[in-house]
Amino acid sequence: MKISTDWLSDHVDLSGLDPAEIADLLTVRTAEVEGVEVVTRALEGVRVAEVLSAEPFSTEAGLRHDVRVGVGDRTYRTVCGAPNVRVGMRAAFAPAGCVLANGERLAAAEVHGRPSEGVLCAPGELGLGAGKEGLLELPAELVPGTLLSELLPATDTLIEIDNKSLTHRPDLWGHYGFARELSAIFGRPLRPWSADALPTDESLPAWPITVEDAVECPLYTAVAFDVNGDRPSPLRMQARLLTLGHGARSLLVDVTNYVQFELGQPTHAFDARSLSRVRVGRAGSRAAFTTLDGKSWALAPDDLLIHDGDEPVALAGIMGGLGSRIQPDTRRVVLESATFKASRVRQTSVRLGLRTDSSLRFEKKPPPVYTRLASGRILRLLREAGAAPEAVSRFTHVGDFRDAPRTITLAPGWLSRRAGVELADSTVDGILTSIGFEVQRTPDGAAAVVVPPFRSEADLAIPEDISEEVFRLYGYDNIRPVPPAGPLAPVAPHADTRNQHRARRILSEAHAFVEVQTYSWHADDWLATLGYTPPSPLRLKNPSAPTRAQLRDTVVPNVLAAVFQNRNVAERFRLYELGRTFWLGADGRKREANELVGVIVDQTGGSGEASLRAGRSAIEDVAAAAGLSSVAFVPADGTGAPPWVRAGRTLDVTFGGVVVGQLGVLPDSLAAHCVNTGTVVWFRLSAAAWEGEVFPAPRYTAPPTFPGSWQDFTFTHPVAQGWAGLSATLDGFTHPLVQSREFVTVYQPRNSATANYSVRFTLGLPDRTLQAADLDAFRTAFLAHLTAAGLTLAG
Amino acid sequence: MKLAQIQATLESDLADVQAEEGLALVRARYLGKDGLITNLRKNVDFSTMTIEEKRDFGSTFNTMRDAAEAAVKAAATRIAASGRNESLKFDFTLPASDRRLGAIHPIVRTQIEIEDIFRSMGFTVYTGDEAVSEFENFDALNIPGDHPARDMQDTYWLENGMVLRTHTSSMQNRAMRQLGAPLRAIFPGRCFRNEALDITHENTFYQLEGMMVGTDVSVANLIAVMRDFLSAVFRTEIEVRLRPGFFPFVEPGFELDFRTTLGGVRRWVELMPCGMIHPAVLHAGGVDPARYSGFAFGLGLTRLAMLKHGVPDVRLFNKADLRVCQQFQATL
Repeated sequence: MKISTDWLSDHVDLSGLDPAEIADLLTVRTAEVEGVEVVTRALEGVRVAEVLSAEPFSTEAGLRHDVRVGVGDRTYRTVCGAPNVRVGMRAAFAPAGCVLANGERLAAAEVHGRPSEGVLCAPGELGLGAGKEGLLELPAELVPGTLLSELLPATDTLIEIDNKSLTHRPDLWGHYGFARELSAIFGRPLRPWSADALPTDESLPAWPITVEDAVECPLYTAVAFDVNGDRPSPLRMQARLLTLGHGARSLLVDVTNYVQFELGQPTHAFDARSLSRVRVGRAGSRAAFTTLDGKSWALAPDDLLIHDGDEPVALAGIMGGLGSRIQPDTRRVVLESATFKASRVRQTSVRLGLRTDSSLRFEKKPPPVYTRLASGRILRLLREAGAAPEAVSRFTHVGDFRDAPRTITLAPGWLSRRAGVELADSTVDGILTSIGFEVQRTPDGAAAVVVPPFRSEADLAIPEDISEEVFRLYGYDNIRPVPPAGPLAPVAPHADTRNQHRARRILSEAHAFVEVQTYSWHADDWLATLGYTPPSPLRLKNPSAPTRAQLRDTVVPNVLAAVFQNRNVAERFRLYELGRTFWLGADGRKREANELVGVIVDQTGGSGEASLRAGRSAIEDVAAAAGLSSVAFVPADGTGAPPWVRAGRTLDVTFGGVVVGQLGVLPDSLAAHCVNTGTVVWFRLSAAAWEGEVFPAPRYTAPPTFPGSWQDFTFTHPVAQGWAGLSATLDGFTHPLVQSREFVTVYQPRNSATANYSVRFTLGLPDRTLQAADLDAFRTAFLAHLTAAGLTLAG
Repeated sequence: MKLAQIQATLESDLADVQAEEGLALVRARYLGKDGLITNLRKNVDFSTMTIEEKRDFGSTFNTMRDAAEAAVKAAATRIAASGRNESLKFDFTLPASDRRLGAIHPIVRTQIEIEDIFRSMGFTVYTGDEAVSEFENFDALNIPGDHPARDMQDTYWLENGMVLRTHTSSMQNRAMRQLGAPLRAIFPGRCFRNEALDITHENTFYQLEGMMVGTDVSVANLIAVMRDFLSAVFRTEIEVRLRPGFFPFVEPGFELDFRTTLGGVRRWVELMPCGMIHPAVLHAGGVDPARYSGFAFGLGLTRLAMLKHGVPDVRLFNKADLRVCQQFQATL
């Protein structure tokens, strides 16, 4: 929203203040200023002119008028193309030598073969807004020959306020509210609101009003008057509306807009011929309504309308109707000034895409007393403009003006404690008084603060609300930072996040994985490609796209999609995501868990063996870092599992015997969708599984005191039984010399169903050096175990 | 030969020597039994010399011999170090192998750093659900039933009536109930808003909410904590200011700006909303507003990550593009 310093100056003296300083202080005391703009008007030498004659003639470019204008002491001739030129009107004439707003210097010339000694100006040519279509029409009271520079300031400074910072301040949706703020900020008096008394004479009839739902329309006021309103608005009013980017039409329309931007209260003027009795009610079964701009809108049953009896005349709080709009021959007006339920106005205007200056303001819940202030102001401005309004009804209302005093009590010293700085009572009282509050102090220093009715009830209800008024105007910059006091105590580490970050470091620092993030929902088309159907998905009611409604119950599909996206970035890569999954439990309640999914992609050929073992080391390291030792990998049977889990290529990962995830080589049919060639090894781990100690403390074991030895053995063993089977058999062998056993290597000849597995035993004794006899005894015992277990050593 | 001449030829011979065998020959030539230096003494007729002359000669000879020995030793060291005889059978100037550090997502890096800073300031880290009840996301935060934020165009609603949290403020209620007062905590996490995507708008983003509740927690405390926190993030003393801002869950509410010289111009940059926790929010969290007060702030982690790493388009964070993500090497 833009505000004009020229307009503000009607209400508070801003002389001598730098606009930049005004903007800075408004930003830190009241509302964010987004920009300051100086508009310059091209008024130099432009005079009020009376159109004395206007002869139409045709040209190739359309109809033109050969016009004679009088500017008091002399007359000029000009050719005018504006549609609204007519004899007797007052307009602005720029004689040759003047410079228009676009920088063009006018010269006497012949136009269409006729002399042109200057131009009759459209508002935009004078720098009043952008309008170039019709002439600026001036009130008939202006004396021809008067310089426009005597009637209007040559410049205006516009301050643009961020609307978002005003959502809770309906009193700031017009100039007067900002004038009040500036008066408080700069200590300059606010001029009283200038309005006529509203007609209350019992001899005048009340205007009939029926409000069907007081929640939808808490207050409706109307006053009817006769008026001579078909005339141009005062130049200053037009200039201000145009400068702020609004149109200037006719006095009756302009004056309601003007007061809307001055006070923040939207009003609507109806032609009384179309509104004899007001009924405020829902649209119900009525299907459509045509607004005054001629557009037709489809109604919803709950939309609120103003009716003349049964006939709708306005979309409440948004826009008036075509049939009841002000016309040139309107002589009797019904002036509506009301409050409507904010959320209804918002819902209807959002649904229709019809956002108006009026709907924006009603969405902020303007204070009900504004209705009176606006109507009185409109009568005053009409009278000052010579339109001589004469009431034909009382000012009639249905509802509550809510102007009873509201008192909020502050305990002694409370404001200072809350601010963290000492605030003297006199300082507080001075600030509150400057914005229209009243303060009464009890002897103990408590303050009873009376909130003025023009401030929003929602915004000012509790002591904290008062504290905002005091602190902001005291200046947050005057509150010195004070570090909080408090007990110095250890902060409990949050095991979840610590363990997750540690897993990230292990994967990314020790195992060369790149962490990625994807959206929290599945992509249904991709799920179809993978052949996966979530068993019990949690679904969005309003997804970004219809195919993105299922929240992800596992991160695997999204990570596989990331593999597909990156398949041409690198031949080999590793990535993972650690993120949230969602599903519905058997009890129908929502469940959430964090899941880690990683992939090792190798598009350079190979069986996947190396990738699979690399994935296994990554998982073992994640577990080890959390102090979990009993990690095992057990072939999964794959029954009823998602399509990426298949027997013969997937291992269940168990921590302490509990399955916490899987590690596998992606089935070729799925890999074909993800990579150009080669293998994708994937793993999935429940993040809860590795929530061990934040700082695990491994126990010290003394290194052997006496030298030991080692012995290597190589077995020929069926690949189908695998290392898992061989290892289990070897586990059955125990011997006092054996300190550890490790896998060394495997060699599988081409086309062979068996492979040669090499293992190494580390041997030693705690109390003496090994002797040859010890080794012989170990070897004998081990070979006996092999024979019993049916294992053969490789030739 | 004169002494000086011998010395010069020794130096030149040593300089020419490139291998241990050659060095042995040089040593024999000068310092061996029949060496040039050894012979100097053999060929002197001491009988013709005074005691003083004998002493002078002995001293000169010893100095020369010692220097020669040292020079030979130095040459031996040089030859050993030259390594010519230890050369490798492969190209030892090849580049590093391709197994490198991986990467941690830029938003997570930022999160970890900020968690560290707040932990050092006595704040605990706390996390919670991303799909939450309407109560947690709105009602408990004093957001009225007809507030626009609840509309379908702003919030993702689930079919079961819950919402994807629109802010980490949804954690406030649970944190107060579970941790109680006094309280210093931060809640980092993923948030969702149903909006159209462009370079500054994402429907999926990260925030880091923080709150401090205690007796007489003041606006002055809030300013101090934010200033110190930001100074730690940007590793320089940061100036902050508060402006009025409106959020239903705080009163008064602020927009916090910090002053920066980014791009050479000293200016205020809007960073985060914050405020004094609304008594209705404390009450909903089971904390007595008559006894406790507090402040809360909502830092845009995603935005901070953009600032810190110079990422121009917020949508890059959720694209899982290796070319983007692998730039943020795991160096935490």
